[in-house]
Amino acid sequence: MAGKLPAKLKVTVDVFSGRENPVVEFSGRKLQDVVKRLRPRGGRHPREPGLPPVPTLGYRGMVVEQMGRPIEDLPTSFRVADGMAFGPDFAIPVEDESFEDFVCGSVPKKPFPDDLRAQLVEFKILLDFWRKWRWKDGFGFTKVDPCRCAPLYEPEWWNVPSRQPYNNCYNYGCNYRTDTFAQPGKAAGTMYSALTCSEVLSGAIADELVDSPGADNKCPGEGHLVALVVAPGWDYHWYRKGRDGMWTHKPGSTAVTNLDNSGNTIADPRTADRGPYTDFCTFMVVHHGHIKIT
Amino acid sequence: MKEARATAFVFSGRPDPSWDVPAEVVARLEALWAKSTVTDSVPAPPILGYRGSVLRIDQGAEYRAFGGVVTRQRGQGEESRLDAGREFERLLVSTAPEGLLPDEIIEDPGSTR
Repeated sequence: MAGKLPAKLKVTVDVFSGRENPVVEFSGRKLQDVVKRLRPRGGRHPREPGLPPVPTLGYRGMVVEQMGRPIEDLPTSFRVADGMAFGPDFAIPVEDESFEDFVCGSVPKKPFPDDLRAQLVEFKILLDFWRKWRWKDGFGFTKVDPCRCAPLYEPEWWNVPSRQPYNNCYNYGCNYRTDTFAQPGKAAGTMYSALTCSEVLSGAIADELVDSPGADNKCPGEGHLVALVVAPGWDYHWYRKGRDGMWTHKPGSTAVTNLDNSGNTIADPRTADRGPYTDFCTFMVVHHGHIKIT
Repeated sequence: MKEARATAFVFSGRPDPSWDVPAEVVARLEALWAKSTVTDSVPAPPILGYRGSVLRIDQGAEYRAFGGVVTRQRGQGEESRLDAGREFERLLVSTAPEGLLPDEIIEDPGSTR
């Protein structure tokens, strides 16, 4: 039973291409010191922009994996590079920003290439495949918001008597309070004339929302993503993608919610339970400050 | 003469439809309420789609009907009663002018929409 074995940390120096990467293991009293060095230092650190999309040759960081009994306060596995810990959706500085140097100097007979220290100095950008590594949530590592430009989910701001009844799904989707129950196209004088995808879409485009049918539930570089659905001949509805990548909405004059008609949170409006809004029309992008709705 | 107005909570993008309710219908609705049985169980409406209808009587009570239960709010007080066969709700939505509500609601306020 792996869980009953003494706790141990395996650190793999990800540096070679053909040869097997060097591995260092820490246990016992040394382990306690290593865990301290790896604890998060605090503060939010979005991923650096411009990460290369393909693996790069040379030093790519150190992969830290828990072995044996679980160690609290640390993800199961993550990558340390340039003093930062990276997981699928977090990036945060570790307590000891020279952790990689510490690992290099921590074993008497160094299993590393001679120029590894030089590579460490040069290494300033996270590379390749840290996404592969599994981690467990809730160990004190701050998640990075995948949609940094998206509006905050703040139902308590919308769900008050002075705002909730007067702002609809379009207001909420656009993150634009008008207190007029805004209608697509109305501000531009070309409000929809039928409750179809194409008509409502045309109205929204006239309001300067940008049609992005190929967005495929991905956050835009600028602005935030919304989704238009229609109950044919009946009504339309909008969802918006939040900073955490999940979707929320405001059904008419009712309260803002993050749930669909089945009571589930919404990862993708295309597959959410939308009640009578059976037609998924398109994704659109709201560029903040560009739109005009009323 | 009591002035009363109904609203159906049904849309998301469009404003919810509202209409005046004739006094004689208001009297019938209040009579239906009076003979109904008290209940503690109030069904939750769906997030999207038809979420019930409300009757607001000027300077009086407000009755909200959904899912076989009518909840009356008067002042600070609130009480829910069973709406057998959705008679209250059906009668209320039947007073909507033609074309104001989707046909499905008129025909069956208990439908998924």
